[in-house]
Amino acid sequence: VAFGVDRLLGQQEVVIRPVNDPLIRVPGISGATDLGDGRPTLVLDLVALSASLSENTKRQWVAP
Amino acid sequence: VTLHLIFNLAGTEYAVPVDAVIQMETFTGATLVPGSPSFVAGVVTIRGRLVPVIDLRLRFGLPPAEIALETRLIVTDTGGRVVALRVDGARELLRLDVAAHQPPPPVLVERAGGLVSGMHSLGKRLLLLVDLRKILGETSHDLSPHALLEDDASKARAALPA
Repeated sequence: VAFGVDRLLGQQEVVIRPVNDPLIRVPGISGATDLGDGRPTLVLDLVALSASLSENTKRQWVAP
Repeated sequence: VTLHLIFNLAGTEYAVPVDAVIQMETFTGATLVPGSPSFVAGVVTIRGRLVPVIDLRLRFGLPPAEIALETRLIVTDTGGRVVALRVDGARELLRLDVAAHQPPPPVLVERAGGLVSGMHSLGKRLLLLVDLRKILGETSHDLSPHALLEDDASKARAALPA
C-alpha cells in the first residue's frame, strides 16, 4: 500500500505520547509527539490505518 | 455555595463549578485529529499531556467563530478525564448558591439535549449550568451535536417569573 502526502519534511527520533481520551482515539493514530513548536504532531500507525481502510472498503462492497 | 467559573459563548453566559476546572489557557490553535467527532477542535499539549479540545460552539450546534484575543481554553477534569473546552471568553468567578439553581425550561432541555442541566438567575443575569459529563459524551448517543440556538437565554429569561 502506498500513502500519498502533501510534502515530506524530514526524519527524526521522537518520544511518542499515548492518545488516551476516546474523543481523539481514532484508528491509524497511535499517539503524538512534540517537535518543539508547542503543538502536538500526530504519529500514524500505517499498518492499523491500512487495515481500517480495507475494512471500510469491504463494508462498502458488502453493502447493497 | 460553590465557586463557579463564568464563561461566555455566543452572547450567553454559562457557569461551571471550579472544582472541575484544572486551569485556563489562551487558545492559539490545536492539531486537527482526522476521524474525531466534528465538535473536536483538535488536540493540544498541556503539562506534557495530550488533551482533546471540544469547541463548545460546535458541541451546542452554534456557528463557529474565529480565534480572538478573548478565546479561552477551560481545562477540565471529569472523573480523571482531562478535556479542554474552547469558549468565547472566561474571566469571572462567582459564588453561586447551589440551592438557588433552577431546572431549565422544557424547551431548552429539548434543544440542548441535556447539555444544559440547569440555570441560575442573578439579578438581571441568567447563567446556564452545563453538564460536563454530557458534553464529553459518556455514551456514543451523546456525541451528536445539539442545536442550541443563540436566543435560548433570552427565551429562558422571558420564562422566568418577574
